[in-house]
Amino acid sequence: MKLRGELAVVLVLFGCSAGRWERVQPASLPGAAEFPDADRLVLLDEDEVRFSLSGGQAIAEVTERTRIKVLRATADRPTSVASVYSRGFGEVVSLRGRVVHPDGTSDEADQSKLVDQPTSSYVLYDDDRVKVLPTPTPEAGAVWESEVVRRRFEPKLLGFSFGLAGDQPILERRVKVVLPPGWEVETAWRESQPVALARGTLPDGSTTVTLELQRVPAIAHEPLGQRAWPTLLLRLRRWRDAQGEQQAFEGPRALSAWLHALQRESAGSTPELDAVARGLAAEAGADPEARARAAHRYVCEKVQYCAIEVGLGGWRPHPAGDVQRLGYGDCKDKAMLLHVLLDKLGVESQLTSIHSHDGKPLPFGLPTLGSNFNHEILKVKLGGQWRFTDPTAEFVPFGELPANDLGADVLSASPAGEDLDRTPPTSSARDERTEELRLSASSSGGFAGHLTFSAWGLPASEWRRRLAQGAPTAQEYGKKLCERFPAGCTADKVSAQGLEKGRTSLELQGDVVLPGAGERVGTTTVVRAVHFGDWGWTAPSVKERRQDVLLGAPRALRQDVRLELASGKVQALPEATRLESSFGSYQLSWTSQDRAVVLHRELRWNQAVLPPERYAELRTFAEGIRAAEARALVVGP
Amino acid sequence: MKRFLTVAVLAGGLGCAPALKATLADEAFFKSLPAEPLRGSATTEVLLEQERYLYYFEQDAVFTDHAIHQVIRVRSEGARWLANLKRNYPRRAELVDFACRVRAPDGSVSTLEKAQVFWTVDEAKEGGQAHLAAAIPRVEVGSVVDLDVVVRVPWLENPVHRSLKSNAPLQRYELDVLLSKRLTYVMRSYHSLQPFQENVVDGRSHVAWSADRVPNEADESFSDVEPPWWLLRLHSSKWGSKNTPILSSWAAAYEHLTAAVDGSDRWSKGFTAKLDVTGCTDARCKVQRAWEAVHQQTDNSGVGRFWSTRPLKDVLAAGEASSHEQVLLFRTLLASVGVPSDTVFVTRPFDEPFDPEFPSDEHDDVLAFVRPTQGLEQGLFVDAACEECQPGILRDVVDGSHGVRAWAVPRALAEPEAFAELVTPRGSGRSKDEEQLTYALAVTASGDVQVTERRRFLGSFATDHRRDQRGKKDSELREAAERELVARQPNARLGDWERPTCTKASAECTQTLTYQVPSGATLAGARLLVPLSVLSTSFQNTMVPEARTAGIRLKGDSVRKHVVEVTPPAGWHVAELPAAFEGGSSAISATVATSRTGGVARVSRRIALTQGQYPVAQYPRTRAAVRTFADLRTGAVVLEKD
Repeated sequence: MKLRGELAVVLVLFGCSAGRWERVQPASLPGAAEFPDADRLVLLDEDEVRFSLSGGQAIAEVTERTRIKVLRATADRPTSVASVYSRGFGEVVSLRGRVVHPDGTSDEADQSKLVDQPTSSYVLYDDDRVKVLPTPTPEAGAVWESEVVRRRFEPKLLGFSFGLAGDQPILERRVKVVLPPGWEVETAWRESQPVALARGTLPDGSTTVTLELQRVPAIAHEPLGQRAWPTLLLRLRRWRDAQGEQQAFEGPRALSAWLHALQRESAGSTPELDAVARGLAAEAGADPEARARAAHRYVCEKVQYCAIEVGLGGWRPHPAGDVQRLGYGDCKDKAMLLHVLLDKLGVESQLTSIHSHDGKPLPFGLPTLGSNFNHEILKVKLGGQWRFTDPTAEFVPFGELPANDLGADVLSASPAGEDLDRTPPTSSARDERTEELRLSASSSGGFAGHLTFSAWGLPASEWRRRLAQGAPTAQEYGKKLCERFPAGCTADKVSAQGLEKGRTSLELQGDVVLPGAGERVGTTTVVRAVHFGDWGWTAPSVKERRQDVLLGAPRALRQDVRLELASGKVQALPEATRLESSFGSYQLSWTSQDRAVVLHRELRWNQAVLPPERYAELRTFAEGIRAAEARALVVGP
Repeated sequence: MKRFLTVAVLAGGLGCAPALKATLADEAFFKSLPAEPLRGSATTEVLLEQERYLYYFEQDAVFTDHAIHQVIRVRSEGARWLANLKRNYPRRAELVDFACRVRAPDGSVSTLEKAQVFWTVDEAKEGGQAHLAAAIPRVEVGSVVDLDVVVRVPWLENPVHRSLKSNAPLQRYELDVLLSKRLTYVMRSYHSLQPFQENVVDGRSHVAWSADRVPNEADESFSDVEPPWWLLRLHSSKWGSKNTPILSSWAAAYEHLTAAVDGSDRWSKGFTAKLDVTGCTDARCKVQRAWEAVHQQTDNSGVGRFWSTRPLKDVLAAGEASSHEQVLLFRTLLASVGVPSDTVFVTRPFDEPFDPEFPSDEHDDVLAFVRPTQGLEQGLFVDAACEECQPGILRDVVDGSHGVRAWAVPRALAEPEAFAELVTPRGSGRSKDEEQLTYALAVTASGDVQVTERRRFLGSFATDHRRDQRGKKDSELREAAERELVARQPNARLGDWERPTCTKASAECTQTLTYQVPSGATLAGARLLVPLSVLSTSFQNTMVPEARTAGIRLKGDSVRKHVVEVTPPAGWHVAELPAAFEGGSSAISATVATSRTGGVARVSRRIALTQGQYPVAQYPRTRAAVRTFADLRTGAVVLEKD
């Protein structure tokens, strides 16, 4: 309670010192006519960072100022100022906001409406909080303005990331850093060419580093793309505090060693954990790989994902014994439990930090705790070779990786420190899905017969997860199997193999009825490949392509459909199609065999990411597939 | 070693105050578990749910303790999220007790320690919430989670109700309510023949109710199945010798809302109502102007609540408004030109048969009632939040439903006096929801097809379309159109595209787009087969199974009309057309009609839904209409060389 009282005093003091707003006349500012593609215009986006000593420790006081003009009535508009802080790593000193109406009058946000609440995230519990101050709503033509003052501690661990562009145009982007004499910062750039930083000295000997950008265009959404936000990364490199000269992590190796030291205190064992390891050893035998697989499966089956992060809990796992006893934990906890089990089973491993991505890996920036990694996996040494494995991806077997982990920069932890490494670009030697359909015309319309569905590698893991998420019944498996057929499907007598965690392949079999397969006019039936699963996809037209094209992890799909023709004969057989490119290949053929027709198609993706200049080629490839899939087989009397 | 979880907060309780305690299932219960789930499609099964309320007085304060005890079997990986327990409560709520035990598939039992329960409260002068988070141990496939949470609020929760509608089947539900003898109450249940058991326990009124083997929701479209419900309303409370009625009348139920709406100026601060009624000679005209002004200045963003209604100044700035805000704006504008009106709360509180003896302030929607005046002798119900409802027009779900007209009369030196009366909102007509799609197909001799698609949406269909495109750029909408097009017509290539033209005043949206379908028609000897695959509909997977258990409930009327016109290439003529159809039931009827005019084939289909509840016996005829309508997509027009 005492602390809360002190904080309130600080708030009041800073509230007084925050100063007056700059005079703003919305009518004289640029408007919708000058920015026809924008809903809002960011007039000013400014971060001012002042490093100093507080209580003998280096801190940063950060002032963030934002000024936005609402250009259109249909624009999404800001209605609150919010700032997230993590107790122990920072605090929010003050928030304020206002709206300047088109006529120049203004309304200030009511400080009595300030709320300090937990953040909402995937984490079950952490000590991150967010302060939210509702503001009046700006109408079209009005200017919304905010100022947040906060303090950040732990400069060695945490760097700064300054986004330099957004989804709306920015008129003026400023970053200003003020350093006491003798202190130094280091910068790096992500998704941006380096920009010249102005350096200066103030009369008191403090130095300044300033970035100023004008008229930064918005980064638009592009289909099959991922917006790459240009970012200035910055950290304190050298400074002096009450303990003397201080220095940030020299490089990735130093960060690796620090992480190892932080994590190793959670690597202790318990009698229960020892017993689990003995059981796994007895089950798996002496083969190290079999032991590693058994331990991996144990963690996947017994530990449910559940994140609790308090203090350094975002980086330090909970003790492995607690995770085993309670049966829950987050990615670090799972990786640590597996690491300890493997250690007891005589298999060497290292906890490994990674950025789990959405298709485009994030390159490593500066060696700080934040801004590089968001996930933890494990590197395991078997037969003299290191292999990566991710026990959080429960349905991906040992030794393979989910798509989000592929091709990513990683940093393993060891006492002496490790260099940066990279995960492989593919999940396994065989990432493939195949379907075999043996069908004949159904008396009630459409086709009926038997389906065998098989998958290996990533496709197997994805299907295993999908099937496991639903109810464990043949009926539910059948429903999921049928989702593949756009013209309707019912399945019966479905059996499944390979659903258990740790398996590398999966197979589903069952009887299917596809009532909507084929178009019928009188005694003539028209059949297209698309009736047996739509493999086509869309690469929409774009004016200009700037972003990389994300194709997903490399993989292959194959399908063989045999249609028995009880009556009628083939009147038109579509010609075969073959498309080849460095990023993928596609082939489709229809062949007539006795009283049957066989459709064979195969699609293979070789690359996960394409440069933007190849988008047009990809569009042609996609259209070629769609054309082939739509060509019709005609069966008539 | 560091404790796994470091923060634990449980309410200290109130000393000698009565309180519910968390309880867990005993061994006998676990021995009697059913082996098979009620319905196989669920990822969990609730083996037991016990819900308890305790209403009591402590000195000069009142409290409600509420406990929910659940025993849940985890049937698949999809239910392991149960390990992450997160619930929000009012900020002044206290966590009184918490217990949890998990039986793993191997029979071992893990108990959740109270130190693993996190209770945090927002710091706020206004609003805010309390947050419960608990990590439940050993949640594996096959585990049984036994969990009881008791929370207290320092007020009388009133009314309270519960539907047993759930994604998970429920083997047994038990309700226990204990009330101070100073309280009187009324209870109701629906879709249940189970009576309430009432007696006195330890000097308190006690009510018990139960339900057995409640299945989870069936996957049947337009189902009319409703699970059991119960409701409880406190009727009066005794303070000293005085018996104070609570929600004893509809006026009492709406007193606080009426006072907030009609007795407060917090909505209108900084707002000056301006309504141009130039040329208006009667109230009807002013009503029309006010309704138009509301929709010119705001878009509807959902129903909302009066308690979260913003000042009208902010509402206009945002350009988006909840239904409550739109009604408030409408009434304020009307008042500014001297036309009095009241608020009408559309009260179908539990989606149940309306019960006039059960006053409650729960409502689904809100209207305005313009009081009788010159030019409007009968008064007028106006749905100011419905942009397809011109004054006097009501939506199907509102017209003929149940409402509470509420108003307040100012009093000198006292709070305004609230009044309410039950009303039946009636309109002079109903809004019409209609979809009209026309596809003009020009076919070449080589089988390429050029399509011109014209779309027209009316009523709420138009409102939905307009809302979907609000704030979106042309490039985003075109990309979405391209994706949607190839989803229904795989080989199509979008050509001309225009942004939909939507008119609020007439609740209409129109759009024209063109696309090519290379090899869209198939050459088979001397015949050219033109598939009707352009005909896409949301009914594609509706009513596929031949049999079902539930009756049919349709919440509103709607009509969909689709026309395909096929122009053959020169030297070809129309040879065959799909079969015509006319049929269906009083719930859903459909027609398929074909014709040849001037060498052009015309295939049209129409489906009409009529609001109402229909017995399952109507399903076969209803299904026939729906399937014929939907399956026309797999048909074709056949052309032959002259």
